Order: sequence, then C-alpha cells, then structure tokens
Amino acid sequence: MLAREMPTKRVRRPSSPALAAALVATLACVGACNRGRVVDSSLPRTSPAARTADSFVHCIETGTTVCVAAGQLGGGWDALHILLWLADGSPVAILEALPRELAAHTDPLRVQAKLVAEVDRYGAALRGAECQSVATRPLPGLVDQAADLATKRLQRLGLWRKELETVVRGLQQEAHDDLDEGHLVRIDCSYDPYRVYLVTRPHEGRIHVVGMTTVLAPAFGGDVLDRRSVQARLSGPSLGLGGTQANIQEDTIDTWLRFPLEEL
Amino acid sequence: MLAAALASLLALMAPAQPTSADEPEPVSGFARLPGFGALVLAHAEASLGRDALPSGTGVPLEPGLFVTIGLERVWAFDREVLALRSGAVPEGTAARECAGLCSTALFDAMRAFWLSLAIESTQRATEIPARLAVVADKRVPARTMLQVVYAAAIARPVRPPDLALVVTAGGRGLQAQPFHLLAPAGLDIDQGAAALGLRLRFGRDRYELDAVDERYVQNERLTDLRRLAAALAGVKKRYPNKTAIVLEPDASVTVADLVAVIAAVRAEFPRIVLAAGQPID
Repeated sequence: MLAREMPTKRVRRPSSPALAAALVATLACVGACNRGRVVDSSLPRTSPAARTADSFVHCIETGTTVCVAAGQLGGGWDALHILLWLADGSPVAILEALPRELAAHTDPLRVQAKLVAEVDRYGAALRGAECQSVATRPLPGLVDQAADLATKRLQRLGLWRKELETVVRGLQQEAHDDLDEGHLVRIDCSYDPYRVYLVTRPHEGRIHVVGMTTVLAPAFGGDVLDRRSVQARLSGPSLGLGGTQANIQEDTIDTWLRFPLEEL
Repeated sequence: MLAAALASLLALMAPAQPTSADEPEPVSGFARLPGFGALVLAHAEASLGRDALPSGTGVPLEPGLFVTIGLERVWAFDREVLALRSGAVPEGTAARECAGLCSTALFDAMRAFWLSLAIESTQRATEIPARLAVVADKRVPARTMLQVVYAAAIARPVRPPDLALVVTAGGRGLQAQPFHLLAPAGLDIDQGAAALGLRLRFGRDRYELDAVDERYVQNERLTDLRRLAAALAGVKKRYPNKTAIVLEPDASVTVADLVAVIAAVRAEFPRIVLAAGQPID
C-alpha cells in the first residue's frame, strides 16, 4: 500500500517561545560542547521526490501561473495514467474515449496540456487545502501492476483485442522508459481535494513533477474517502458540480417523474 | 515507442467521423470494440452466471452506468460495492439522504462511486453517466433491487439518472425496460390536480389496485395477472389519457415477478413508476 511504503518524516518547528529559547541555548552550546559532531541539515527529512512535490504544491498555493515545467516529460505518466484507467475506469468511458485518448497520447503538447489543465482545475482548491506530502512510492512496480490488472480486466469484460495487447505493452514499456527512476508522492490535504498524487521523475539533474491526479484506486494503494470528504468533493468547485441544479421541465412532476402530471 | 505504433495505426486507419481542429483524431481501429450490450452481458454472465437475468422484452439498451445485483453482491460496473446476505441488504443505519429507503453503507458506496465517475469525466472529457441500467438476478427480492436503485439514484450528483431494468429477450439479446422511481419522500398531489394516481400494491398472486382519489378507482383485490390486465383495461377505457402506474411490490416479490407484472400492465400504462411504500396523497 502506498501509505505504508515510505512514510515521510518531518522535523517540526518550535511552536512556543520557551521551546525556541531552549533551542537557542542548545545551539549556542553546540559550538563549544559538541565539537566534531555532525549537525543535521536544515532541510526537512523527506525524499527528494517528496520535496519536489511539496515545492510544486507551494508553487500552486502562491498562485504562480507556471508551475508545470516546460518540456515534453509527461509521456510516461500519460501512459501509466491510461493503464490505471483501463484497470479501474468506467468501461463505458473506455469504449467512448479510448481511441481519442490514445490519439492524444501521441501528441506531447496535448499530454502537457492535460497536466496544465489538472493543475488549473485544482489550483484554487489547493490554495487553502493545507496539503503536505505523506508518502512516496517508486513507480516501476505500479507500472507492471497497472498493465497486469488492465489486461486481466479487459479480458474479463470481453474488451480484449489483439491491437489492445500491442497498446498495453507499448504503454507499459513507455511508462518504464520514462518513470523507472520516478516516484508517486501522496499528498494529504485537510480540505478538498483531500488527496493529490504527484508523479516525479529526474531529468538532466533535476527532479520534475510530470503528472498529477486526485484519485488512485484502492487496488493501487489509494484509499476511500470518508462520507464527509466525498460530499465536500462533489459539492466543491473543482468538479463543477456543486452549484449545478437539475433542469426540471415546467410540465413535469419533479426530478424523479419527468413526465406531465396529467399522465399519472 | 508506443507513439510510433499508434502513429502507424492512425496512418493505416481513416477516422470514423470528422473531428474538429482541436480534437485529436481517434484511433478508429477500435471501432471493433464490442457495444454496451455485449459488455453488460459479459459482466452479467461472469458475475451472476448464465440464464440469471429475467426474461422479457423492452427497448434497445443504451449506454450508462450498470449496477449488477446478485444474491451475494452488488457491483457498480465491475467494482464490488456491497456484500449482500442471501439477496438482502445487511441491516444497518438508514441513510438520511434516502429518507429511510437505503442503508448508509449502500448510499456511501454509491456516492463514492459517482465521485470517481465525476473525477474521470474531468480527466477523460466524458459525461457522468445519465442512465442507470439495473442488471438484477431474477431471484433477487424486488425490495432489495429498490434499495440499491434508490441508493444509486439519490447518490448521483445533480439529478437522478434515467432508469432501466435489463431483461433478456431470447435471440434479441439484452433489452431495457425503462422505469421511474417515486420520489424518496413520496408524492403530494394537489387537490384539484388532474392526476389519477393509479397504484398497484402486490405480492405473489395478490394484486391490490387503487388510486389516490378513490372516487375514480375503487379499491380492487385480484388474484392473478389475467384479471389484473382486464381490470386495468377497464380503467384505461375510462381514463384514456393516463399512461403511468405506480407499482409497489411487497417483500415476497422477486425481480422475475416484478418483470411479469410490468409486462401485464404496460400495454395500458407504459410509464412504470416503482415505489417502496412512500405516501402518495
């Protein structure tokens, strides 16, 4: 499970004047009393992937317009995201949208635009959501698990075709090529969207966030939100459903009986 | 590279239909993917077994969320959302949102499922399903089916979905019997409204026909479907513009019984409204 893989450890900052004074005294003693000892780094004790993910969230929180790095680094995540979708998404949506999604996958600009759109969608919510990384997970295992479950599910649903085998294997290979040194970082938030999963990968000496999603199926280590959080997500602004009201035609009885009262 | 493989696929296959300049062209080779009916049938046979669905005729099945109800489990698409006990929803706290018609566990499971569909719709540019197809084992109690359908319908954001019960029509494959649900809190018909409010409360071999206003339809107790059909033909003669009937099965009724009753009444009253004992006044 993702949460158990690699919990992120953090150094808490002093929260009271007394504790701060004690720390100052301790620090003053360090020079004289602890010569030769190694002093901890002031950086949080998190993995580089988690620090990158936290920085990415902070970038969004500060309202910076461009948090997504330029470049064509997202193909591997897009491949993995399609595999996760095939393994757990709506089969009706798969029937409808798979050809379109695969066509879009061949265009790096569209792949990058998807990440930009996802960041835009949740940008406003993340600004007040009190988010922090809690776990990281290496990606190669997830890639193979997603490909395996996608294959078995498509076979079970009667959707399996020869060309789909080519597609699944190709997506799996592409995800491995791009993400074998990458990580999935789970971010927990106190408010909507509650969970954010960021995908990081190294490139030219730096770690980049190349993917984002707010849902991960339990089969892949995601958890099920409690009822309060589910309701908050459905009524929050990110999904655009909160203020939407059913359109009731004037001559119908109610939202349940959508035919004229005279017919009852 | 997958991209190269897909590009060659795209080059080989002409797009199924013209697309706008902003939309990527679909990989049209996947037009050979099966249709919705085949998908439902594959899942029904895998989860319920062969010949588990009620027999009947209906209208063509249209794509949407399908909820499968067996004697031991409930699935939304192919994801298990609740375990049943011999066809019954385990007792538990009633969900406030369902006005007592479904359990909290069932409602929460369906609500979380709709959330996953809502998130998917933003990621894949699809619509949240507006239809719900009920794929129920014919032995399942109709009351269990109603609890599941109420939970799924109330939990959907924005508005309840359009509903249909899936039946197997012999050589014609799967078909849909459309139906409505009475609002969870019941129906309050204004005095003077032009509504007859015809209602059939029934069990096995026991049919009780009445209407909101008893001046128009006397309470009739019948013992078989033939007499019921004849009684309904009489009502229809007097009220030819009425098309809807409220069906209220008791705890003895199975999904197969319900389908048989629907078949008997829909010739005269094609708009089927299912209810679970809510008031109509």
